[in-house]
Amino acid sequence: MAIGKVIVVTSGKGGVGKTTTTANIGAALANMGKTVCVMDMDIGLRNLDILMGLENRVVYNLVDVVEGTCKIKQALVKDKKLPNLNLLPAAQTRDKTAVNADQIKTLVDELKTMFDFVLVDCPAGIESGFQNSIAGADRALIVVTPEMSSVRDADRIVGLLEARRDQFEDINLIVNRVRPGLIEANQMMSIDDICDILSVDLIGVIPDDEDIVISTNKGEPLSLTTNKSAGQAYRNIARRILGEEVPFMDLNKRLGIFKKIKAMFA
Amino acid sequence: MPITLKQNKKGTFLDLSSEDFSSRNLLKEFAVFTSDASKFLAGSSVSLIVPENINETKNSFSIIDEMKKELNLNNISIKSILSSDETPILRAQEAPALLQEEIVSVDQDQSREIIDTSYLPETLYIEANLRSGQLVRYPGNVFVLGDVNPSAEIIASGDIIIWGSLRDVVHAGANGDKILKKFVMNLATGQIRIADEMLSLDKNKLRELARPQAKSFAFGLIASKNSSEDSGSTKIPLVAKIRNNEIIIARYF
Repeated sequence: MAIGKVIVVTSGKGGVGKTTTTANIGAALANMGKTVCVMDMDIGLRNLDILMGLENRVVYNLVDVVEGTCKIKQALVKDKKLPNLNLLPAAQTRDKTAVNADQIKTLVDELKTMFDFVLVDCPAGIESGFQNSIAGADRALIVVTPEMSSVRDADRIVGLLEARRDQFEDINLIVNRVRPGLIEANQMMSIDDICDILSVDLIGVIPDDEDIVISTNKGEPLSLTTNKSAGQAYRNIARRILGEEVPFMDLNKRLGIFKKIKAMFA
Repeated sequence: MPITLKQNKKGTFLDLSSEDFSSRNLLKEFAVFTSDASKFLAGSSVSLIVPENINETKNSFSIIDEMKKELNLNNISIKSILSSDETPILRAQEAPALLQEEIVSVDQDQSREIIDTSYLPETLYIEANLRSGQLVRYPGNVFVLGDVNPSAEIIASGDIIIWGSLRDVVHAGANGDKILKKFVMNLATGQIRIADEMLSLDKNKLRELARPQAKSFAFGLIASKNSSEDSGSTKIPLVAKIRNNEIIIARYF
């Protein structure tokens, strides 16, 4: 039986787009024919079910599975549109001390036998929530926004992951909420600056896109739509995870015409 | 006679020339002596001065071997084994295999001065980036082949050399030694500390350092090419040192 891969999506800092990234990459992989389980490890503050539009279908959660109240299949929630995409929600009425790393390792080891990919949505911070989330992971995706506070927190996370380098096949970086206009005007950190500080291989750059807000509220991952901006970026990341070489989108293309006009009058 | 410790320009010597190598108590006395001496000799290397007639003493090499083990247990290494007039006494083929490295070095050209490095502080070599939250404390020099990222810290009693970008606080000469320096390839931090002096660098000061006064060549490096004015980092090798009780930062080249 083929063993799947466990990918933890982490960041350190809260609110940078981990849950959005987990939902969109999970949906994109499932749309490409892979069997995927997205797992919410933010016990007490769950959100992944909302982004997937499955909040009304949650019966059991991963704490119930760990405590033996139910079986894994009873806790898994199938996606409305993609039958090969499943959600393992977190508990909302408990907190992160409800589980430990060994229990999560056992759980993800079993999930690996059922799915091609298990995406673990890691909570913010570096304490037990983070430690539990990385237990059993084969790969890490670090989400960062172009702000010094986010980069510094991500650097802490990279240090903690590098201390377990034997466990991880790959540690990759996703830069989220990029605004090319601000970078051009030197009012935002550039991708190069971020990569220079973190020294981690880049796997994706997600432009700032208001459609993300709309898709979050609708409960429909943007990567399943025809969106050519953030949606396309998430689809590209999914393809890179599958080993395909996909060139990075040129986020400056829209600015290109204005730049040329500006140059003519300079 | 008790074992004597001697120190001169040529190094540190344990004088065993008056000791009876056939005595059973010698190793016990040596163990007690070494344990006491390790308080100030740990991390250094010493030369043993043995009696001239040591070759005639039975099991002398195994006794020396035991002495070496005792020294190693206390983090002291043997640099050489000499006769009472401080000339090498043992030839390679007569020495046990474990002592070969010391004997061979002494058999080489005797006119060459053996430089005593035992007084130099040890250097910690780190081949990695130091990440946010990581702290290095070391009673010696620290050499980092990589970057020191924001909120990483190095506190060293010796020099700090960073072959990469320095993006946060490092403190050289933490034990108060002001004749210490920091060499940095790319200075992007806000604070430099040497001994008990501190210098805060704001972005304007960093930009000033980044902006070269003129194009210049130094060993093939064009100083004007690598500066980055707006990011506040320099990307030119810099050295920070104390002069007149003040930290100054100058270009290395």
